[in-house]
Amino acid sequence: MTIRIFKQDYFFFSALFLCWMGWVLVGYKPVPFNGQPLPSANLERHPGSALGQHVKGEQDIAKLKTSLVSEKDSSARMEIFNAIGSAYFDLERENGNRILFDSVYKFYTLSVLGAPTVARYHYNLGRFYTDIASHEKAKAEYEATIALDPMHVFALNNLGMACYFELKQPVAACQYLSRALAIDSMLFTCNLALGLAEIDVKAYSSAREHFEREIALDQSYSKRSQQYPTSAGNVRYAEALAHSNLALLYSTQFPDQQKAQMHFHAYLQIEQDPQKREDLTQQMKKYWVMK
Amino acid sequence: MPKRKLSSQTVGTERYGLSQHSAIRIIAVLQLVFLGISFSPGLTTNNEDAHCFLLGRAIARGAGYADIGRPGNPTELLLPPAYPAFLSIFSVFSATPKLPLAASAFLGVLIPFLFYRLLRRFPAVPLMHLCALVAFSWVVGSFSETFSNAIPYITSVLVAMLLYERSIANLSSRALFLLAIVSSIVPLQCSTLGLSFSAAWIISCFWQRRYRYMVWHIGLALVAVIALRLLTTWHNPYLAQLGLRDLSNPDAGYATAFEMRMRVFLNAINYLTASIPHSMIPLPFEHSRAIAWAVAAALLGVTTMGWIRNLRHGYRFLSVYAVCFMAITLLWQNQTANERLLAGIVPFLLLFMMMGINWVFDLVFSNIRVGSLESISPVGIARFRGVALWTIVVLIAVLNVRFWMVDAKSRREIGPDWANFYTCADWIKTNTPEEAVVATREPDLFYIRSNHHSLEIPRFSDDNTVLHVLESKKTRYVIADGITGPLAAPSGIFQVINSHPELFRTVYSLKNPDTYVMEFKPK
Repeated sequence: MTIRIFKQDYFFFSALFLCWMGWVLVGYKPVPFNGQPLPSANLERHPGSALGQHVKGEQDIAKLKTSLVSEKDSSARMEIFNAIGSAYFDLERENGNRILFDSVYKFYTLSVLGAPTVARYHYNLGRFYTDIASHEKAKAEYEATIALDPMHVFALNNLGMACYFELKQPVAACQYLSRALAIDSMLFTCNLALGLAEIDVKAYSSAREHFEREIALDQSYSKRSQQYPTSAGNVRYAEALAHSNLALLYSTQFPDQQKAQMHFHAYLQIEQDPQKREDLTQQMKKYWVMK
Repeated sequence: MPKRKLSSQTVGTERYGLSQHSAIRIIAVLQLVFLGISFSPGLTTNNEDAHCFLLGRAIARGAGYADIGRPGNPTELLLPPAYPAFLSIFSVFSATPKLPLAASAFLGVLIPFLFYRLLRRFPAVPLMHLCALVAFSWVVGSFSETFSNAIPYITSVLVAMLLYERSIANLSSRALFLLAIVSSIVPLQCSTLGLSFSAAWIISCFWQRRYRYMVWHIGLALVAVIALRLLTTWHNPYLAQLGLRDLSNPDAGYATAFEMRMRVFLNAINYLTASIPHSMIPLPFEHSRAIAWAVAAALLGVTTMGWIRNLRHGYRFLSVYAVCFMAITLLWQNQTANERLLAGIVPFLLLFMMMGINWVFDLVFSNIRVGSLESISPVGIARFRGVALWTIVVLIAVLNVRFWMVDAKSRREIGPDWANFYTCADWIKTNTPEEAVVATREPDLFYIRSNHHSLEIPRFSDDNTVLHVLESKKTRYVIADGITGPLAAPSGIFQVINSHPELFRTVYSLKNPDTYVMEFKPK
């Protein structure tokens, strides 16, 4: 009787359906269509009113300032302040003219003071502070951004990076970077920074996992369209660093000669700097007999 | 010496110790593995897919059969409700498209099995070859993984045919009769192309003098349509839309009789030379027109032969249905005549193709005089024939799977134009009030991403009409996108903005390609 049931088509296809749904549930991460982040603000431009004609630089700023005169709506004025700040910021980055920093600061601050509930204004000001290496202030602005928009993945990412690399706060870095990755697992270098922070807090197992994810992500870099701007150099740097850390982890915390050697050689293939290659080689010699 | 005919039945999977029943299960598992490899749990950039998903979500949330992405949540008028109702079952458990999409994809796995159950009593059909071809067809595979109603439509057609056959075999069963009749109206509730199925049902029943099935089908279909109209609205723009000269420009008016003839002619040329051959055998060397034409000609030849053979020795209903389906699709606007529209008929065309090839083999091998070549035994010839047929099937299946994977990869990637479009949706989501209405090219995709009610940018040649519609819908923002591609029709909004710059103000913009969020301020 039991065997007859197993031979029935409806049993077979029901079982197949359950297997398929289980596979999809476990094997595929849902795409968070409502929670994807905004891209880095350096993509943003505010051209003049005429479409298709990008007015850049000083002309752009002059036009925006002219529009301030006629604009009475308070929120629109704040938007224009922020746009002028962004235009100055872009100009400064393009020309390397540090004198423009005062203007960037002035207009970004005006927009934040005038509309303190807009997350994007705080984020832009935070980016400015990061640029001038004023990391404590940048942290405060990023925190304000996240308070207003908990899904602002770039604020979380930048805050985590600042906490780890600049402020030496690995615990806070772990928290922010984990949140950023929970929103968007495709952020380049985020897994790397999180792995490094986790080594500092001695969470070696999850550090290993994040380094491996970073490598997988970096290896897919050239294979797909990039939603977020990042350079190939950055990706290669992150991949090399992840390999070197994995080589050390597999030498110390999770001894596995085969994997340690694999990551060590992968690192050597990517890293071009002879000094860095030599440094890791010396470290590896402490743990393994090098052939 | 008299000729000895070699029947296709001498070649079968049983010879290798594998029953057809087991073989069909192995094919289903293999198909599922390929589905798993190519499956992507997100939405494509096709707005129709997003529309189906949203309708399912609306039903699941108890919002009725309404377009929850549009301002005012209007009742859905174009898409029949069966497929969204199916999706709604799984949307109850999942806010993302993953579960409904997976459930929908599984319907594709049922198609070869349903073919097997339907056609196993017809000896002229090379059944296992057909099931393998259908299972690995790129059309079945790719459309299974999107929210296209083609796959549920094919499934509903096959289920209806199967129940019809069961009912005829057991005429005394009232339950089977009712099941057959109810299932026969499901294709029409799944896709408007289901009209072709209803037409085929009526013609076949009339032909076979099964008037009871015909009358009940007509009656129940009318009841279902009237009930749906009573629950929603009597205004049905779909058939009126079919008569439009240009879908992207309603101002252009309705097609004349001559233009309709031209439309049918151009569609026929397109289907016969491009869409149908590509749907059945996607060649890897598309640039070589000579090879493509030669393959298309051979393919159409054997498919026509198979259609004739099916009419004579196979399941006639299918031949009638194919004609009805093609007749309806020929009426569609030329701009929408593509593989997506034809997806509902492709498995049946594969059936005709296999029957045609089998017929050609019958003709060739029946002319071989056994004994003229003493070294070749009848068993050897039969074996050779079996190997040759399977070689053709495997070759076609490999080409199909290859294209299926290429298509799946391209669906997973988005270009910079779409990245900018979604970024604008993100900007709208975080920087504008929730009640702000946005006009955009792809309103359902935009709504899912931004959670703001969206409407399609009105497509009129007259700028003032466009502005009037935007104003009447209380539109606050307009997305002027830079989306390009073979299927992306120009939205026409750039022309309106350039001619009335005083009514629009750029509030956010992106480069490469130029994409703008424009605030709309009517006078």
